[in-house]
Amino acid sequence: MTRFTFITFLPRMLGLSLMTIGYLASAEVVVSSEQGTQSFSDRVSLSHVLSQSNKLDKVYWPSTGLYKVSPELEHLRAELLKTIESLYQDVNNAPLASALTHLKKDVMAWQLAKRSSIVVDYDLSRLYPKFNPNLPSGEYLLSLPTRGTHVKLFGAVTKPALLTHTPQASVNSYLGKAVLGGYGELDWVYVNNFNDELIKAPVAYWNHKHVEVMPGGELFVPFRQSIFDSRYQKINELVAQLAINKVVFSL
Amino acid sequence: MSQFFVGTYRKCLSLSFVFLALFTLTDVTADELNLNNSSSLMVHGGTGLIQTPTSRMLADGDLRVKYTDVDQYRFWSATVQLYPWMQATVRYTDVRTRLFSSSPGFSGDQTLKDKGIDAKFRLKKESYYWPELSVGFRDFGGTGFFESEFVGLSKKAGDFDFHLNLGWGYLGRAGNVTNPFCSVKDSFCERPSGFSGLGGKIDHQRFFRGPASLFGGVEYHTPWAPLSVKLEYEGNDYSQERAGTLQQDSRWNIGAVYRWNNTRFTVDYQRGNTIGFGVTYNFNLHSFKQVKFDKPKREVTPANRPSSNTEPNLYRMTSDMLYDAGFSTADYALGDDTLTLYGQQLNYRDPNEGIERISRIAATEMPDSIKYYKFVETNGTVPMVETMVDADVFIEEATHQTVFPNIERAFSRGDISPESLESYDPENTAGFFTGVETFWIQTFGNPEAFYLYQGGLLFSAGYSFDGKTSVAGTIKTTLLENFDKFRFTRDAFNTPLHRVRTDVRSYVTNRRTTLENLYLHWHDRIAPNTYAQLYGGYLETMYGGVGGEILYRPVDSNLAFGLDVNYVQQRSYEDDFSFFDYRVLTGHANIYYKPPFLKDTQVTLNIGRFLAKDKGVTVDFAKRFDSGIVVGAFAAFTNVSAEEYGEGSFTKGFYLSIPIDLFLLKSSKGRGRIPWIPIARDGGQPLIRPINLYNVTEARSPFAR
Repeated sequence: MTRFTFITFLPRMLGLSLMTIGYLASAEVVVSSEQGTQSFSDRVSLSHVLSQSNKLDKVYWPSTGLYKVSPELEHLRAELLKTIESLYQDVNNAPLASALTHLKKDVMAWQLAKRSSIVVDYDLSRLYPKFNPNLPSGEYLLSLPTRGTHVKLFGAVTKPALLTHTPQASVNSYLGKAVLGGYGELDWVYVNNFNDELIKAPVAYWNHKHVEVMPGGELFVPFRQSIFDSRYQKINELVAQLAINKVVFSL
Repeated sequence: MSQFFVGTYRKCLSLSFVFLALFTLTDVTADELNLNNSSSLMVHGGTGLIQTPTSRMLADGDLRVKYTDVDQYRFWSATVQLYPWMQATVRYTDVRTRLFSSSPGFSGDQTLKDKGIDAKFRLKKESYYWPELSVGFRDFGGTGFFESEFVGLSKKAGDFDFHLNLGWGYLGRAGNVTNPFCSVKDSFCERPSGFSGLGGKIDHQRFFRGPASLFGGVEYHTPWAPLSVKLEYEGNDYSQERAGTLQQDSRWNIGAVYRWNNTRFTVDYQRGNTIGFGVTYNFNLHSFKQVKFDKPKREVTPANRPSSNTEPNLYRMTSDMLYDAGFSTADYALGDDTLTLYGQQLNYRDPNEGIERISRIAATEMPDSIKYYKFVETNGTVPMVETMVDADVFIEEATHQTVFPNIERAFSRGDISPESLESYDPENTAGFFTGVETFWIQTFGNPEAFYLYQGGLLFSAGYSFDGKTSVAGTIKTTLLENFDKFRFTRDAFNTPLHRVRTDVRSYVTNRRTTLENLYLHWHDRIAPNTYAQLYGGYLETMYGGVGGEILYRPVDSNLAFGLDVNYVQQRSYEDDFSFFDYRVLTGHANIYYKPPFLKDTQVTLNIGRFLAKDKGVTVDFAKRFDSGIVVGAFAAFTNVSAEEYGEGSFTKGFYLSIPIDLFLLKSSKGRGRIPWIPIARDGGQPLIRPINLYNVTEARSPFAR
């Protein structure tokens, strides 16, 4: 038996968790998306879940994703926040402190869940079994965003920014002079297109290659690694690890 | 001069099928793997400009073969990027202006040939403020025409790649700067001449000594993508060339490289008076692959799962496993909740793929009450490794009941369990077996001709008494060869060692059909993780006798070790069955180690007594690439001095081991091995045992899969 319950989507992790726990008592599979939460008393196929959406014609399929709520990621987030805080306490450089503060706020606001490697595509799910898994019991988040219009720039930058996406533009064109002098990585940035793959894009004068970011994607400028302080590298690694598992319902 | 070496390239299927399949080979180019890499090779092989090397590396796993023609010299080279930080080049040089030897009776009118080996190590990667830093050693084998060392810096800016190097030896012969080490220690001011031993040794006492030069240049990748141009300034003055003193009108050289798919064509203008050209072909050892037309993996769906009260059809299941999944079942046991199958995987070199395919068939035949599938891989009837499949987990994965697919989590490998051993009772284990293989023997750089070859068929047959004990033999028939060009079968070197290998020419030339081997063999698992074998008879082309081996090899362990002991007598080359008087007790302690800090690498040590009664160790270093191709090198260090050993000073060689699967349109196991042994004499020579336990037990901790 399948039961549908549509409720207002709450973007914050805490609120969502509280909301879905209540449903688990009476349902095995709970899937939340931008349109609300659906509960199923038995395993349900991905194609069936997708078929319930009334906006499939507007979905930007390259950035769709299926996520499972996982407490492990909260441990990583806590570790990342702790590292940022620890570094913040030790720095006496105002721009760097500001970048760390922005990053901390950003990370706190992220909705995290473990991303499935299965491509979410309504056509593929109806054609091939491997793209149409039966969801075992648990809480899931289904991201079916519409095409974005902006690119987010964050990390070791003077100020995080939401920039207008330009078709066919190289990643470099979004960086401008935003990279934090002395602390921002100059050679490469991470490109997150919300498609289960983080691209390490070379952007310096010596290694530049044309890499594009998709509409609604993110550019994370890493902190330059220091042989004297491993915390910069740790922050980069944790951000990269968490960014893949960041749930976005709208780009 | 190179001595004879024997390399066989064997395969199990017909030649015509293999060559047909060759045309469908696909590979992904290096640059697709590594966007940052667009370096080209220098004339001698190895990344560089024209005559000068640079600190640049190729993409990991790149193998580039190159031919270059520069007036007096011709070069054939192969450059391989073994690790992202290490590049190696092997090269043959043909000197057109010199004869191979002054004796026409020895080498006719053949021109001078020399081989060379280069190695380059990256010490630091390029970054925003720092150039790439590498150190290179060229032609370091002792008699090298181009022996030199260099430290190089490379920095890219846009489409320009700038290079600056400091070189010693051939590369620094012009001496345009003071050797910086000379100001630290006087011994660095002069470069010792000659070479130690009888060549073939690494003469580290000459490294970084003598005149030094700065050299370098720039490579510009033009807006027309296939074309790049090069400009370089040399540090060599061509005053001491093997081809004689060459006129150098300018130290500036220019060149161009045109890329067409995986092939690069080069043309250059050198020394202000000489035009050179070359061609390079590139493929990547990691991504090299072949399209396959295997049967698709069986889908497991609720519809094709048997109901709980269905009697399993074991005949249909094992038959499907053979034809659809390459698993030949020798025995089975069906318990209350466990199915155990004993047999051999014949087709799939990736153990997990083989297990997945047969598990899918088991899942569509076995009822829900069977919770475990156990597959015991055997060799003959000797059990090798047991893979336990958790049926519930497997079916969950196979029927896509998870959003984090990972079918391998259902598999667990281990040594053979006591229950599996107890219920193992294979039937029909006695019988005849036959086989046909091709062989190809080749040797480069001989005085009679640069390339000598012999090819033909190996017919093997035998009788297995119980899957553990057998009698087997091989007859070798030559079909194609140019060994009739041999002018001698024994070289003139007055060696104090018994000629345990250097008479090999006599063994491969006097008859077209010979008895390669004929022996009685037994092998078994004698204890947990421990295997043993005994053998006796005509063991290889040159030796017969008796021997035994024991090997301890835990499943999926980085370490295995064992011991082999043999008492053998040298076979006569005059007929197939008689012996010469020479007898020797030979054997080794064998250690196999896969260091966790070097990806897909295996180091093998064979410590003991060799055929010439010399004592020492053979070190073998093998690197496996993702395609399954293995590149290896070995060297034997024994108590035979360089003078006693003769040319080359000690036994060493390289090899390429290639999965046959890469040339076939259907998945297949088996490998071909192409060795390159520049010089092989009598010291450090092991017995070539007909069966090596480490190969037989490969399934326990696969390296060359």
